[in-house]
Amino acid sequence: MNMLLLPVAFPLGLAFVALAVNAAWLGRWLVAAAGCLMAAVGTLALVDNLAGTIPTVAVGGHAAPFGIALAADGLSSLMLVVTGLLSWACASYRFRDSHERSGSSHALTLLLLASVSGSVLTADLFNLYVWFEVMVLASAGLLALTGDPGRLDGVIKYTLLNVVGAAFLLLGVALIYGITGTLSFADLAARPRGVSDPQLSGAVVVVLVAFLLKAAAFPLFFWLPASYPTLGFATAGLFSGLMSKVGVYTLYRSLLTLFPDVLVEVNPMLVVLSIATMLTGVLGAAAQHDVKRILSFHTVSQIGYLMMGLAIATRDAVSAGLFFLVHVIVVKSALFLVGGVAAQFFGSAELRDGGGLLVRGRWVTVCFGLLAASLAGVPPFSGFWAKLGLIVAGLDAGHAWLVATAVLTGLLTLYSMTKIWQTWFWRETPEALALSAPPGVGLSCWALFGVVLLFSAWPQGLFSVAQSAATQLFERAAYVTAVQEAQ
Amino acid sequence: MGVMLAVLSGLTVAGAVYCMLARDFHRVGVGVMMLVSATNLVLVAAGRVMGRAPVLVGDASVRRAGEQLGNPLPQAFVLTAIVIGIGVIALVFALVRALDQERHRLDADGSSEEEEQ
Repeated sequence: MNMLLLPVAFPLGLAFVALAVNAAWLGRWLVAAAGCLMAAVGTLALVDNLAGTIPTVAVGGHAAPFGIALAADGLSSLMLVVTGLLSWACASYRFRDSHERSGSSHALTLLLLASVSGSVLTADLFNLYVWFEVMVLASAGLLALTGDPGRLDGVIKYTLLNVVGAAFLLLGVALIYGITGTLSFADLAARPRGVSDPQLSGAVVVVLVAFLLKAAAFPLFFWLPASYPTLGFATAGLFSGLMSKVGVYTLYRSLLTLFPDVLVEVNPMLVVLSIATMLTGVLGAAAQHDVKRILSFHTVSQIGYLMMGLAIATRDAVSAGLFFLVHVIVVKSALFLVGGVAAQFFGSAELRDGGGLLVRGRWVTVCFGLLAASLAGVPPFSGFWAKLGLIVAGLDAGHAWLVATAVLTGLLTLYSMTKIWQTWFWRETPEALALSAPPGVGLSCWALFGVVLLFSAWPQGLFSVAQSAATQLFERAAYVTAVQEAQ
Repeated sequence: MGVMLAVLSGLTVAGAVYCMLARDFHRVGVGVMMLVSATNLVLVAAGRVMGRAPVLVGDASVRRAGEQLGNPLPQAFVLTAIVIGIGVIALVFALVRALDQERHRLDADGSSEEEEQ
């Protein structure tokens, strides 16, 4: 069995096992195992990519172009590794709410992991739609299972917006099929460049609307801050690293590999949307006083940075964008998890209910403080290298507005993080907690923190991987041949 | 045939959008149903499923002389889309029902207060 089938089939099958056995410990082990498997397959594929080959497999043995192929080029392998690591961390997290321990929540998480693996590995547009729908259904189920009393409002908004987005995707896929006659990534990428087809551009824009909605771009991001704060910290960390980043992956894949001509045409719109996403996300976060809401809005503004890498569209910008993608997935989820440790101590996620962690919980302080500095882009952490890469690429390409917005957003992110620091860490402990100590941070948070430190101290490693992945995205011939000759 | 499908899908999407902008969530659910149907119609139209013969492998006697085989790939797409649409509709209506039950129990709409922050 080819290794690329494992990250998709394994969680899919185990979801039913988790549901049938319905034991909390088994479910956790299965999710952690699925995460490790995804990371392992991703690493093997990445090693292949760095050596110059793209592993592929034709599902069911059906040959191209009618069969569905799975292909792992640089971008897909990177996504697999990081999301696998993230899934392991969220499954091993110590503080899970009661609803996060039920058999159905583990089954839904496994389905979510299968759909994420499927989305990043598939080389067929209709198969991508199918995995998107699985993602919507699994995540809507997870949202509905949380115990938060305000959750139904958030779930309905999330579900309706994502269902409309998926319908847009199907519509666009139908139109693309009608115009080009094929839905295989290889055939779409192999079409001659420079031939402008307004019909096809229109169909691609319909598909882009769906991807932008999934990626939580302005003005389609409101489902994110409406629904994420109702989740427990572990699930919120998982969602923030998986859902919108798959949307970003599909944006990069469709505009760089499949339809590079359309990228030139929609470039002005992308620039405006990334500026708007960065600003609305960070300004929304500045107005919140609940840590989950603050972090949810920051997720949106970081998506703006990722779109900036795509909007600049040079090789340097895309490789900086890929570095940023890996960095933000790890840092964002780690912030959710460590924030959960602090919230566990205070008993609530509101800023006004906390205080005194600088004195009483030094390890929590170290972990959260450095992660927050990394998110805000303070040197010498990974966020600084990521943003520096994007800013330098932007200046080289002449995008003054994008660069100015990126810098301003970084400053406003620092403001939000300082607000959390000042309430939860700097000021006095509330009297009710004066005699207790906060819990230990836990292995999963330290693992993610270690990865962030690795990227901060040695960014060249990740940068070279990101650059080779970006090169593979721009030079499509290798991808096309690999998929067309899939066995 | 193509024109009829195009007009039909356009009208269905218009109806779907009209329903999805309604205040009552039941209407929104009906709108989702219409949207799913409309996208399936577009799939049929774009796939140009022209032939009349069914896609049966191996039994040549089923096809009458001169009949063209219908394009099987878009038929597969539409089948998948219909089944996925059924799942989505079921989920939306389950959520609408849960919202109904919660509102009757809770009397005040406590959930939207958190949204207004």
